Amino acid sequence: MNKKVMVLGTGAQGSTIAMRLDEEPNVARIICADYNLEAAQRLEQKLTKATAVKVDGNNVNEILEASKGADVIVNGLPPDFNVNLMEAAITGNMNYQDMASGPVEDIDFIGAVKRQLDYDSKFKAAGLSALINTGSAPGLVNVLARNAADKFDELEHIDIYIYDSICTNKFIPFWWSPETAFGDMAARPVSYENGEYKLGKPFDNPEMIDFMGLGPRRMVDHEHEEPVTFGIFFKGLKSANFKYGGKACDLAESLYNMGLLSREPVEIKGVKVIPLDLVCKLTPPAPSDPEAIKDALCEGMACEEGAAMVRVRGNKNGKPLCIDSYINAPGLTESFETCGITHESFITGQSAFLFTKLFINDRISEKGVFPPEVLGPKTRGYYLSEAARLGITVDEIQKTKLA
Amino acid sequence: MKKIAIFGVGAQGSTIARRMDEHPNVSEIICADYDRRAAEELSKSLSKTKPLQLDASDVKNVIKAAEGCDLVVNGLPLEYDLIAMEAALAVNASYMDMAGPMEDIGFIESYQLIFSEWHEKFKKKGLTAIVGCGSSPGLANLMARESVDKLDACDTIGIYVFEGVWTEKFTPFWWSPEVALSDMGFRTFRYENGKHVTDEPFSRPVMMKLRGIDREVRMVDHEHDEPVTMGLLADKVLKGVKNVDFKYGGCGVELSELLYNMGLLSKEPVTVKGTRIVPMDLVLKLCPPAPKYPEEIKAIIDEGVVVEEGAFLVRVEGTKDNKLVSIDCYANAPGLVKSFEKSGLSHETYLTGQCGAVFVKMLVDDAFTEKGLFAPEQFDADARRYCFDELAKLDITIDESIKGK
Repeated sequence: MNKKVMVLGTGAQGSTIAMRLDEEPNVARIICADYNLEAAQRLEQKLTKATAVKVDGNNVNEILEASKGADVIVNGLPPDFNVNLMEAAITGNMNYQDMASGPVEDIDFIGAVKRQLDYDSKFKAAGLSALINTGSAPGLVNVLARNAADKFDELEHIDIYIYDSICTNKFIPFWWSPETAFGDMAARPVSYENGEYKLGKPFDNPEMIDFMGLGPRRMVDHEHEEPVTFGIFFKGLKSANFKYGGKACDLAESLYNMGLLSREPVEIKGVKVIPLDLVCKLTPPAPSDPEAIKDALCEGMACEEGAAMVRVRGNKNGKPLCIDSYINAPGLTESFETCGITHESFITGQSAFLFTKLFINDRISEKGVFPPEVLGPKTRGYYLSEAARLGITVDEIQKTKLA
Repeated sequence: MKKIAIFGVGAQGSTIARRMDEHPNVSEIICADYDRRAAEELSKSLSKTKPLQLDASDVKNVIKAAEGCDLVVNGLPLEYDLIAMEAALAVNASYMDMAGPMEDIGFIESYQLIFSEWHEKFKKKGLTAIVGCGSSPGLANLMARESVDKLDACDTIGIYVFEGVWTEKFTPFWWSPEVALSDMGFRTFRYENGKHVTDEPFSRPVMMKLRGIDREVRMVDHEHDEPVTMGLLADKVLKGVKNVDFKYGGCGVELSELLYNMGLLSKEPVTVKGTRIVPMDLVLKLCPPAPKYPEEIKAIIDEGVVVEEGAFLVRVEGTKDNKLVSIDCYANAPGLVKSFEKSGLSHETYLTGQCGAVFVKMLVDDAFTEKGLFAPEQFDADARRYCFDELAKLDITIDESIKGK
């Protein structure tokens, strides 16, 4: 029991990570840092090993001061802060973990990933590890993509499909930050094709994907990190895509089509307004504390269905092979009943915690800056077995041609 | 020979004008609109028309425009219904509109007013006024009455309209977005256990299987004329119907519901970063207009039609010979592509405009001569038969199926 961890950003995911770390025997102390000291203190009160501290993620010195002696710094802040925290990690001789590279204002996802990978040599020189993109998607899906890819002689395509239609009768369009959601949704999706990145149109290339146990659902291109990192870390890959679907995606697509996610000012009766500002002002926030989640659940569920699937295609023994890996995790009702959190925090926060667990149990030998698909088979095996203990399991379906 | 004044030559008014231009018993059509260009453009393509710029907010202008006409056709927004009726009475003309009226006293109260006071006014002058005469309301009311007449007693009437036309070019509404979004944000009306009830917009969602659509679709309550008029006329012509509802579904409804849920259809100002803004104003500013001219519709079709599905069902339930009977009537009409190929119109304009034109033709042909003010469910069997026959000539047909125990 000797590791000290700083969790900076105690929102939905950061607090889930901290709560799980509190149960880990190898963790001696958790520094719960947030610009909102009250949020950090609320978390501190629930935990036994936590110390709350106010930290401004813009200020590297403040981060260094608060994280003194930490083995790893877990970044639960928006991706705009990634570089600050990485600088602090190198200076403070700490390992680093975050959950996403983007969205970052004025940089596309290719740039957002690459600006982090530019720190690779610095982390290597310091003998440190920076594990980036470690939620569920990106994160868990990257582990599954590598696991499947290792089974091929020739790897061709990796597609990630996330379908999320969990809605209560009380109108709650998003279960994570609406501002982040709208920013993500309106951004140009990145795909990887024959050695090149392509920026498409938001909500483009609609496709009906037949999910196991769910049936066909409409999925569209969506901006995400996976096609960017897959293009770099899966050698010989021909294409990588990320598609998203479900009620929240449908809502965002409608608002986008109406021009309501635009950041360009529109003049109405003599005054100028940015449509996205009005939309963000009107969108109900995602419930974060258990009371708010309970209130939402009390009004009943309108729809509770979802699917997360990684499809890898290529050749094995001269025959085409397709491997679908489905992630199984509790829905909203079960997540709240078992852990007092939303399905979103359950899968993303816990997937992220499991990567932190790799650090605290010294399971990561790679140095530099890298996403989860770089982790070796033993580490991935450990990760998935620990995930299963938290109720996150994976079903794999292999399809090939016998003749 | 009849002289007609058409007030408002938008999608529906212009379709009626085109149909009446072909009618041998029509001598002249006054095409009046606030938009002079719209009136002139329409008149250029027709032979019996005379364009007129009209500000209908002043009843004197409307009376002057209707002078010498035998029939006033009102294609204006609902708030002009009573002005147009007053003009018709002033010039001794018959009257027809496609929906409404919507006065400050309330929707039900407005209909009560015209079914009583205005009915008497038209009757006293020996004139005929028909109201709510498009597709729905209009054709839906005829279908309902047709089914009710087959029963001994009627318990329930349901009108279900599903519109699933989605094109590559984002075209959320095929009629005025301003009217559509305002309609959608209104409290709904239904007639329940013999009383009118109002409810939240988009209330009482149900999943329904409708003929021609390969899955169950979500339908919600929607503010419409039929539950109001049918409730008011329940004992008079609908054999004591106790329950009437109108449910609506499809792409436009889904979009409107999410805008409503987001608060974006609100007319109450909100302050955003120091600026006060009415959400509905922004939505209307950003919403693409409904395509109006043939070249606009063609461009949309050429870009690609993603989904083209729809259903228009009137379901009537009651008893016959002490047995439960359910009658489904589906209206069949051309979709977007076929409507455009046939007439250069959108599916929306085709159905509502052609239905409107048939009701106007019915008055021109003296196929309905009762004096007073009437909704279509009050038409006698001969007048209904006239309408169904004329609609069939335009490829608008009805399929009926009767289920009994």
